[in-house]
Amino acid sequence: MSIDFFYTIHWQDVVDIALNSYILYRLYTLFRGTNTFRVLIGIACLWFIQRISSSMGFLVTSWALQGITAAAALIIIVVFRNEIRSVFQTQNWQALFWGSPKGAEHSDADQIADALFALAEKRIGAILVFPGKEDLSELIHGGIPWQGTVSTEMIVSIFWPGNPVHDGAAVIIGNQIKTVGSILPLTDRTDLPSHWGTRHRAAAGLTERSDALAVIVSEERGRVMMSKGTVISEIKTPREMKLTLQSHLNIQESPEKGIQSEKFRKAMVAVLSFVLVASAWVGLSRGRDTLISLDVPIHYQNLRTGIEIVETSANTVRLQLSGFSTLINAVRPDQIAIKIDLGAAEPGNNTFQINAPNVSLPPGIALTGLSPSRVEVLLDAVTTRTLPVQVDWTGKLRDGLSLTAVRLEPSVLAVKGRTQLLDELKTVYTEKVPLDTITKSGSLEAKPVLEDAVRLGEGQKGTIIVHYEVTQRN
Amino acid sequence: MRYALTSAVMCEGIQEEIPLNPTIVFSVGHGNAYCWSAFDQIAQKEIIYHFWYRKDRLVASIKLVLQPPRWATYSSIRLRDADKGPWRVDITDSDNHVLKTLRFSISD
Repeated sequence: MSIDFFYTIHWQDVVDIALNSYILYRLYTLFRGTNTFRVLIGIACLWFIQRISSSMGFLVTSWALQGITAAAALIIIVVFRNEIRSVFQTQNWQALFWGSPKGAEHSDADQIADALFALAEKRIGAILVFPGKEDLSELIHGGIPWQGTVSTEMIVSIFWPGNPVHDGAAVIIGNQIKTVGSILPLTDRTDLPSHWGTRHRAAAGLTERSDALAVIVSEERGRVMMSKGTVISEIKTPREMKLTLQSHLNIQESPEKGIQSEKFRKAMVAVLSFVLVASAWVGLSRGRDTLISLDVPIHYQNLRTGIEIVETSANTVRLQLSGFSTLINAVRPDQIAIKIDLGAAEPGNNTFQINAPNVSLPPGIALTGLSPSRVEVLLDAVTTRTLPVQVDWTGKLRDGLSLTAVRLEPSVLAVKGRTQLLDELKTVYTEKVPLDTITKSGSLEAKPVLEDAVRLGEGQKGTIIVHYEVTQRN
Repeated sequence: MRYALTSAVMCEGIQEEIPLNPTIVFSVGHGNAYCWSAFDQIAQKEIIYHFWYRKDRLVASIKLVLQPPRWATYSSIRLRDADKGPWRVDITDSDNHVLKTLRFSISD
């Protein structure tokens, strides 16, 4: 990669890469840990393999993978619609674009663990639900809003047999008991031990359909059990309970170490996002599979006041362009410009080289050649001259009449134009004025006719009044 | 100035050194266009010129002699169909100083 490569990068390219890197980074941040993300990684791998197959000429493999990738991208939206919805529903707009995802909130694991084992000791049945990142609104029904802060006493009192809501599940988010008396879906599994009751079946039913964690306290045996995914296991100690909760809720033992690790992980993801997008950009924009030839007009600019272009050796330049076929086909003529700066040019003949910096191209398009590579521009200074006006009579005066005198208002006109041109111009003539209609002395109006590149000076009227005298011929 | 231009006129003819039918529009069928000029206070023999221009292009330059003390002289061109349009005659001295410009047209 030569240094010239960097000169061909436009500001649009920088914005393009930065924007897409950020989008990729945000997608990772929002979907990390979800099933959707794992499937997305799989689709990305499929796409990568498909591109390699295509470049190596494996037609059938490439064709099949292309179809699978396209179908998978569609299927992911249908299959994981709840997960995708929960990601976007749980975020406010600020969190969506630049905030940290809310994720699972911190719970007071010690208090919860103590409460669970207190309940177990008293042989009081209970079921607690700790949602993960997925939305559970379609799985959990009923329930009474509670909004109580988590404490050992609060949890024990909810499941106390005399309490009207002790039969349902309590949903805990962060340090809040959100709802109590909630109804969970029962599992259809037949392999569960027969002595497990409805609480176990409800916990299994919820966790096999979501990423939530459910904890059950057995009323009959006084055991604490947890259900995660399809696994139901016993928790022996409050310490084990605490660690299980912390693991589920992604709580770090050492907050400082956790923050540093998180920062490092985010930085690595950001770098990886940038590398991936930059690689994709290089692949797309620097692909050279298509060549076209275009005739593009030259824009002469920054011509100083008081100087005009007399003639140029070329008004268009033929450009040979290369690029990725999609980009080349999308090129519009107004996106390409050849600019020649005449700011330092002097009256007389000026020669300019046309090279890459003169040519403005859309992003992803490269210049491979141009012709002509040199243009000659003849410039002249603009000047103002005062010239006499003369009527351009035409037609035939009637027999017996003679036009003996003419007086013009104004008799002279200031005109502006290139010096060389005005040096040759001695008179401003009017438009043709017919003689046929003149029968006696009078006045008429006529407009001056100016050559190309000559114009009236400032403040000059565009009409000449012609006073004429007609006499009878002797 | 070694002499003075007293009068100058475009005319259709000259009769006994006097301009006949002064005009500024000549019909191409008329035959000739004349530029008549009269001078006074001529100290010695002098040279003047009548430069005939059609639309700022020099068509004819005619050298004329002035004799002291007073002199009238003229030049003429033959009117042709191709000569239609605006004309002028610059009367100059021998140093090419324009003494007077006469403007006229040749028409149908």
